[in-house]
Amino acid sequence: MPFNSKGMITALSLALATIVAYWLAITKVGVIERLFSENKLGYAVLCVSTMAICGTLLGFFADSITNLLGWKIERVEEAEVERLEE
Amino acid sequence: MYFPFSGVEFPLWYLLLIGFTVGVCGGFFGFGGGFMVTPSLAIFGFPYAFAAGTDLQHIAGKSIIATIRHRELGNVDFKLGLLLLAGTVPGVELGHTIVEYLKSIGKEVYMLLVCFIVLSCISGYMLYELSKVRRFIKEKGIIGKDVVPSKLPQRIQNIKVPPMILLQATKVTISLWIIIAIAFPVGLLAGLLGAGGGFIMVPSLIYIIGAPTTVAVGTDLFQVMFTAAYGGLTYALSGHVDILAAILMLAVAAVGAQIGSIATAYVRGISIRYLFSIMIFSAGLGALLRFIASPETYGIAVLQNVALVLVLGAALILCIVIIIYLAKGITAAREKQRKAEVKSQSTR
Repeated sequence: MPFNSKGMITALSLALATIVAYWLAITKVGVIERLFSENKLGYAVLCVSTMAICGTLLGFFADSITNLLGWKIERVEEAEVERLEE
Repeated sequence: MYFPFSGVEFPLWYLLLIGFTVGVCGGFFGFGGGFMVTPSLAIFGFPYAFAAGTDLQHIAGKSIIATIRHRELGNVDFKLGLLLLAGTVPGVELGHTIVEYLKSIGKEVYMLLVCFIVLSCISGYMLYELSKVRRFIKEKGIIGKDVVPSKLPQRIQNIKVPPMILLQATKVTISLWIIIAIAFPVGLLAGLLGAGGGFIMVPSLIYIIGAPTTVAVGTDLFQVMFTAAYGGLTYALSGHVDILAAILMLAVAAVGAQIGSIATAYVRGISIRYLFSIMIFSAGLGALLRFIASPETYGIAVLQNVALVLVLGAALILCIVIIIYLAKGITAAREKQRKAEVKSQSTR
């Protein structure tokens, strides 16, 4: 996959923004705490969707980082792996 | 740091350390790491149900990250992963119902004994199989193949109960009913133990279906993504998820999962299985110690800490081993590339 700096910055910004937004919502505003105590279904949906969104964003972000570092990540043949392990 | 949903004070550095370690091990071995994270959170004050629910949520997110990487390495059989879900989801649901029942009668602690028995059996079988593989490789002089000398996958594949499914990435044709029959008990254990089920699914895919080790790891992570999300949802519906702790663990697990997933490209199948068996043996032993330590059984409280040190210590050591494997692999690959470039320049 070719390195995509725009994609990386977008993914990183979104992931960080999501985490900061959650942090504020939990610690300052208390929105999620209200949801937790008043609407369990809403809280459950929020939990699952958050993990899905953050997981996807962080996954693609990490993908871009490894490309940025110039790591050529590809499947290595088992025989080659054996040689590398030795 | 105070976590408002679970109402506990928990050391942040410890949460991040668990997240990172379990991220590396999870990406490398293909399990969610529930058997490590849930007791680790529980021992520092998280109520057991909160620990399991929070853990399942973070596993769901982390599995997405690891699956993205394994997909690039060609380690994910999507068809097999989706078919496994037909068995694991009802299994998780039944497991969760049993947990609720055990909790209501105060017998929750016996799940630890089940955990110990299951993990010890798998670990014992894997170590036995690996000693057979070593002899087999020596006798036949095989180099460069992911060897599983057991005849079981062949026998299983010969059971021709329609519909037969061709799994391209796994390179086998197998009955749909067998896939479901394997997946259901795995899902049941996952629901019972509050874990993703990878510690039993990966060996099942290798020894029963006959998948290459790396494909078993990648495919399991793909299906753990769904089972953990489903398990996490059921816990969240009963209000047993601390989203703040889950997000913090996910952030560091993202880095760890990358390291673990990439390392599979540089390690042989039998080496992954060997490290895997050590990991689950220590996890099983940890579960036994916690069973003995429980006030409902023998009440030897100090064993709780011994169990935690054992499991996390083993995970940390394996985490370091995996990072060393990765560093050595990348260095060797770069060296090879550099030599190839020098050679091509000199021929010009």
